[in-house]
Amino acid sequence: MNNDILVTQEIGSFRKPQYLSSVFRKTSGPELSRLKEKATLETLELFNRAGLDNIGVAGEMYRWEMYEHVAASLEGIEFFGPVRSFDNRYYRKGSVVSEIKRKNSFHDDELTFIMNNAARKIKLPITGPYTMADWSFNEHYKDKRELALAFADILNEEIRHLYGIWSKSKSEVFEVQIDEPAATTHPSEMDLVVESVNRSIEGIHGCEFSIHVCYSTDYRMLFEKGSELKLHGYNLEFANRDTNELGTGSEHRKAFAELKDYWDIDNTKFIGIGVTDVHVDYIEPIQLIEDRIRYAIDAIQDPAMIRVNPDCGLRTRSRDVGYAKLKNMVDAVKQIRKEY
Amino acid sequence: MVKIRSIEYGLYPRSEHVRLSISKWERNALDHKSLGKLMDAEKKEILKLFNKSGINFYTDPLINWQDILRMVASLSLDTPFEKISRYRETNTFYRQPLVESYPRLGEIREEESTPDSHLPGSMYVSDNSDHYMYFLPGIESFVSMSFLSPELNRERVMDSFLEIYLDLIKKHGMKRILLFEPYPDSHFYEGNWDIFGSAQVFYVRYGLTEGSFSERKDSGPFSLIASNEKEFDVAARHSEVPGIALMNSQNTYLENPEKLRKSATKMSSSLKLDEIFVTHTEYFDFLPHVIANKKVEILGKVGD
Repeated sequence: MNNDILVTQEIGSFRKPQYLSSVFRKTSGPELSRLKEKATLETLELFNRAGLDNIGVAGEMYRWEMYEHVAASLEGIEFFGPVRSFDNRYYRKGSVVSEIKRKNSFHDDELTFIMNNAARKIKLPITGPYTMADWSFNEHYKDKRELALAFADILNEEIRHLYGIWSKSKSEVFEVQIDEPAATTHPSEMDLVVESVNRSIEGIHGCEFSIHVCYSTDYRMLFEKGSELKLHGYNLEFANRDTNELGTGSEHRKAFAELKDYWDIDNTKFIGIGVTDVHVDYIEPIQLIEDRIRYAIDAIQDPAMIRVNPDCGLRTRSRDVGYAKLKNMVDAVKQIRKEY
Repeated sequence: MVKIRSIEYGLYPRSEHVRLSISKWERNALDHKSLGKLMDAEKKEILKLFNKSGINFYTDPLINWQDILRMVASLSLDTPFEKISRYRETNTFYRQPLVESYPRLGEIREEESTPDSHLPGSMYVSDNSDHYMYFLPGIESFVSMSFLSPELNRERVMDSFLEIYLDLIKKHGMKRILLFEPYPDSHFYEGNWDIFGSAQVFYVRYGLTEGSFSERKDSGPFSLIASNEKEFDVAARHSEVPGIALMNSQNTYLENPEKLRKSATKMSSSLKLDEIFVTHTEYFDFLPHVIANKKVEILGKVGD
């Protein structure tokens, strides 16, 4: 069995235990830190039990939400209240009212704790500069480009700081996932996506950088810019748009057809494929996940280039459902690895 | 002197109280009936706010619709929803209606409400004033935003929605209708405008170009609302009173009402118009509730 192929990984967030979510905004100081640590250890145990190769940062127990966590660590951003994403799901969208500056590190406590407690591979997700700009109300900067580049400079500063912590005690490559769910929202702004993401990692060596994009209407526009993106891989959502029918034919795996574009256009980067939908409680059977992966292998022809993950963070599902989805994902990979 | 009148439409941001009440309901800590009553009461309060602000025309705030299609989809489709889809170039998503058979008008039962379908509460709460408009998603957009089973005929699906709309218009006695078309697709309304009868129709259609829509003739008052200044001349050519989206509903920046009035006056004067409607660039649900309330106050000062 070849364990170096089809690396299984988390994308980012996982549902917080109730004892943490119920007090996250009401408590602070040592008590909140204690609960974050407790939740991280429990989630780490859950990920280990599911069998993930890469545990990310154990479900982002230190972050309330991917945008707000960063924005709240900056000067120049005000919050006027939550904004709806869909149904009754909200996020706090900040208004940039003056020049943005980094007040403090936004991930060093989380990274330090996970480094001290995880035995498996770690991947640090960090919200990308373009998404930060796209999800902010801009009342200050001349235009979106100026704002995105300002965020890029801040992220560059943060990643350098985190890499400094990492390299003091770890010899492995530092894996960083730039979360850019907004990357393909505005097709006319793809150049800005490339420019801002590249600027956020400019001059930082010794890391493996990937980009996470989800719910895109067309990944092709991303792949077409791939050669300009100074990254090592993609981690993308596919399952949400796929059918739940079994089969490895293109008629069953319509959502994964874009993998052929990836292979034709930009096959120098690894690709993490979303094989389980984070927006439904339906637990995809092992066979269905296997079929999705087999289709991907057929399209890409090199299983070493493929990583396997949920579409996005699993925070929208209960911990039980999230675990069941991850377990089936890992079991599906184990089945396929036996053949290599 | 140009007469300026203001329009507010579409999904309005929920208050913290409503948001938390929905969360309670989702956890079965609040029953359908209680949430339905709360929704209707909240809608009435929002309508009062609109009215008090001086806005000339406004729709139901639709706080229980979840997205612009949800209530109509729940009302007309058997197994209404596919997966979530991105709404235009935004960070907002909607549940894609799943059209597996030809739509027909059904009933919404409050006890069957689920977070994935519609929420409890009335489809429309009217304040019975002359300012109130009924909101309907454009049929072109509805179909473009849905997943249609391949065996269905697209035109026939659209015709089915036309029948449903006709029934809804009669049932509610709609005198003023805001038809919202964020995904325009065809000349669908050609020959079909008569379903609106003598009702006054405000048609918000994105991407207006000459010939991009079918002209409304021989029926009630009609206003095309352009989503940006470049498209305003098209709206002006085809409306009794055209409209223009001048207030930014995707930024928390608070506009100066006098500046908006000046822009509206300048645009009308350049086309020798006596009247103009002014509205916002998208519905207000892209904003925090507190900012939307402030924008409503401002919009109220824009109209005469």
